[in-house]
Amino acid sequence: MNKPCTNRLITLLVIGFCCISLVLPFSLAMLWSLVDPGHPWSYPHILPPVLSLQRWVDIWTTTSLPQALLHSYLLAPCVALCSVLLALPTAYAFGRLEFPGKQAAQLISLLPLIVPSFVVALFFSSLLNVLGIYSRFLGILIGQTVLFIPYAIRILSVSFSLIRQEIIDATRDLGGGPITVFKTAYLPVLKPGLLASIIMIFILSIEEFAIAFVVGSPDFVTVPTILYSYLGYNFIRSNAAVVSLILVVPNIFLMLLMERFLKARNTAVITGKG
Amino acid sequence: MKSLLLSLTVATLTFATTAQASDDLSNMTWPQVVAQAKKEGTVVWYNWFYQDRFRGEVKSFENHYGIKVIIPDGSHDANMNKFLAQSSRPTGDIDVLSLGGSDLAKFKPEKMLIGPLSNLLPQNNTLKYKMEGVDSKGYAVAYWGNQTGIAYNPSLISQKDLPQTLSDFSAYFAKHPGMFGFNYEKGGSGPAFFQSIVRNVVPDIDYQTAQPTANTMAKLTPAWKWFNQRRGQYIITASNSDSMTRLNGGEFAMVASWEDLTASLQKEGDISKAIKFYIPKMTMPGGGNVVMIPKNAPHPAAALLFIHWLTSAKTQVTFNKDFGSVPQNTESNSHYALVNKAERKNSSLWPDKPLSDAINKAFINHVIFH
Amino acid sequence: MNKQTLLAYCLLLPGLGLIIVFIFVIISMALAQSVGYFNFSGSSTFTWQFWQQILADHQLSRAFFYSLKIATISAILSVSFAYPLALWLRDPFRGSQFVSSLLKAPLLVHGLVAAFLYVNFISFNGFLNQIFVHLGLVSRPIRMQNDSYGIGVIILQVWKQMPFALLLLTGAVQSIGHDITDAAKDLGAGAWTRFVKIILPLTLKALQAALIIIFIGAAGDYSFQIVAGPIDVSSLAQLMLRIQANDANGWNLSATVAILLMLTALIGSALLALITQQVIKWGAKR
Repeated sequence: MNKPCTNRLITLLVIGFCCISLVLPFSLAMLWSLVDPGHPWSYPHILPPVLSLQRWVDIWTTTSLPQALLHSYLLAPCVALCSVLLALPTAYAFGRLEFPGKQAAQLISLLPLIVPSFVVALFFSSLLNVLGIYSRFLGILIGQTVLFIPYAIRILSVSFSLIRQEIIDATRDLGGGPITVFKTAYLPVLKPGLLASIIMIFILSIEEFAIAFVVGSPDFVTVPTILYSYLGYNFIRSNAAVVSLILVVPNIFLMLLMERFLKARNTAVITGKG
Repeated sequence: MKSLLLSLTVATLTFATTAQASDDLSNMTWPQVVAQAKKEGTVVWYNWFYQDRFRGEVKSFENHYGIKVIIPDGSHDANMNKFLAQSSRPTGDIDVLSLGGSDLAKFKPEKMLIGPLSNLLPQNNTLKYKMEGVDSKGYAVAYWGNQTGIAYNPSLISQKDLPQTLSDFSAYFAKHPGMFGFNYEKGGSGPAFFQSIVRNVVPDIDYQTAQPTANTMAKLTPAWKWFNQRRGQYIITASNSDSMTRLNGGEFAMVASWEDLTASLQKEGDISKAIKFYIPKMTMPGGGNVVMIPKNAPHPAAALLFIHWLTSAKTQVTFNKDFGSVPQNTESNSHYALVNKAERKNSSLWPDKPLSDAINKAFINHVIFH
Repeated sequence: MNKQTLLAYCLLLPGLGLIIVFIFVIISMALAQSVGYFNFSGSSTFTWQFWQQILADHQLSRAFFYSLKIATISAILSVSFAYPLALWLRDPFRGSQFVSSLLKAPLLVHGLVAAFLYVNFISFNGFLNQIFVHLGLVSRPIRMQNDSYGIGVIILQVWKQMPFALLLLTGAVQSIGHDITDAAKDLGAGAWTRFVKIILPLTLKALQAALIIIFIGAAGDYSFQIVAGPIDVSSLAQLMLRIQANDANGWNLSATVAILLMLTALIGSALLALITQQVIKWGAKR
């Protein structure tokens, strides 16, 4: 068997597997989300008796899903910006400077990834209690920012290391001030890294369950609190299906966007672990 | 010096207004309360169940008084913790707090709540201030009555075969293994079921007065043996809702459930209308939930007006119709209940709260994690 | 200290400094609460009582072994699935870009959503059971929800984490020069020998990173466990949160579980990485 043929065969296998593990479950969720409230889908019906969009309307108008989306999509850009801003100086040091203890510092910067997230969340919320910080928004913002700084540090230090000293020197020799040097030597190389880390942290922030759930509970609803309520405690299959579907859509667009920015770059570099 | 004095006066004044809020209500006439409530404009109701559907129900209150009702999505424990954690702050976030009747045993109502509501509400003599064996001394008022029991699928078990007594259940479990499901956390109906079995296996304890001493708990051993001998004949589910979802899917013939949960899932079209509900003769507990106003409520008058609406005869009938809850105002009737008056006699009280908690914990230790 | 070093240390402050302070404070908070300090109610005094109480609880040991099992199996399975795929995707071919994005798709699906989709799929009247019944494999649907071995949780972990391992391994595999593998080929090394003697040792770091991250994530799992996990055993994170919410000394007791969970995650993942290293070294020498 020649190589292209093997490739095609494995490709088909992978696509087949994705159908079973992705397309099929989502289609089933779609089917459940379309069950008409007047005609429950129950034993022994094999398919829902009547389909309608009523549940989508109900969920959107009576639950706090819109509010949760608002909170989460307001938090995410703030977290992304804060993390990136705080990470920039450290990333510069990692990417462009040599100093004693650099390797140890790089390892320590991964600490937030190593401590289990629910431990961080629980004792961070306890810390907030002791400090008297009652704003849930601020609490989640601080917690998630620190949690995601490592990602920004990793991505940006690679970006900084890619900047070529010759270009900086050349710009300086030609009489360029700090702003010109930044614009010509730094910005073009940094830009994809900046965008990538912002989008990456944006997605991570929306996904993040532990801090948003523990700190936000009970009244600051975010996407994960809604999910926990609809998929855990108040589990009703049709409603859970609607909520799941609504939440997956924005993520797909974000991921497509990130893929575009990162096309040329090694993905392992982006995830910050390698 | 002058500015210092001024700021001191301002501080005293602000302090005085917040401290006054709770006492104020008792000096107001009802029209004054209504006017003050409208001025406050918002009421925040911490209720841990059916939040999405209550947002629809409160529309009539919002439209009538022009006061906005906010219902956060917190769970029961999270709301309770928030209330306790906030109690030392001058102004909290909670206007109206819902809790189960027996939760009141966990704190001193007269210290932490505005009231007694029985002196503040105009329809006070038709309402209940005692719930699940705990007397709130008028500080908390019943707005929700609920009954545990068993929901069943008539196509898998006919009415005449329904198990009624402990021996009926033993026989049914042996004959139809895997057809009965109940939960042990995330909802109280499963615990209601196993508590009922415990009472029937160990009848010589007074569950309303006994304390969870080592002696009492040791007496319960035969009950754990009963469950462990039948492991595999009954199925433990993940939550109340999970039980109902799986009953609807044809997996079970019977599950432990709530009357109101069954009725409202049917009303919403989440489960089949064919599902039925009964209270077995071996009895299962019924109780209810109460609402109260924390001392540091930001909108106390609106809270009081909201509770007035919530407990009114009309609202209670609507809840009975929409959710299957038992009306708590003596002036409302309960035409829409799932069980008839004769069967309602099988309703029992919940065990005393400390004992009830201890039984639940012991069940987890001796049966679930056995 | 020279000027550049000083500058570098100053630059580390807002990013790395913040991380160190944050994690340090949180771990100290947990440590302090586990021995009776920072009580929200009652007095704060030093005591071993919470450690004694929790260590005597047999729920804890069950949760510990359960989380350890889930984490180890998930980490090993995820990388074993990811390796062949990474090798296959090493050289670009027509459609390889599409395939790799398809494989990364689970990264986008929230863990809780994934758990729901899974439970919906395997439930009593779910798709899988209906197929089984229609094919005549079984007469009555099989009960697969909340299975007591944690198979559901492992499937979900692998589904969600495999793409992550794939990302790390693809990068590592791609950075191996073709000259090395080609040279080995010329010397007559078969595919398996090339894998064991060249690719595995050269990608060891990425492999260890993947194992560590997946192990830690799975050891601290809460979301898969609550939706799809067994009913009769808790994961460590689940136990920690349940104790915190339900017990009178909730914060203190959950702090002890938190510390145990951290130790499990750290020591477990380090051991896993170490053993992997030894096995690969041994394989390469043989």
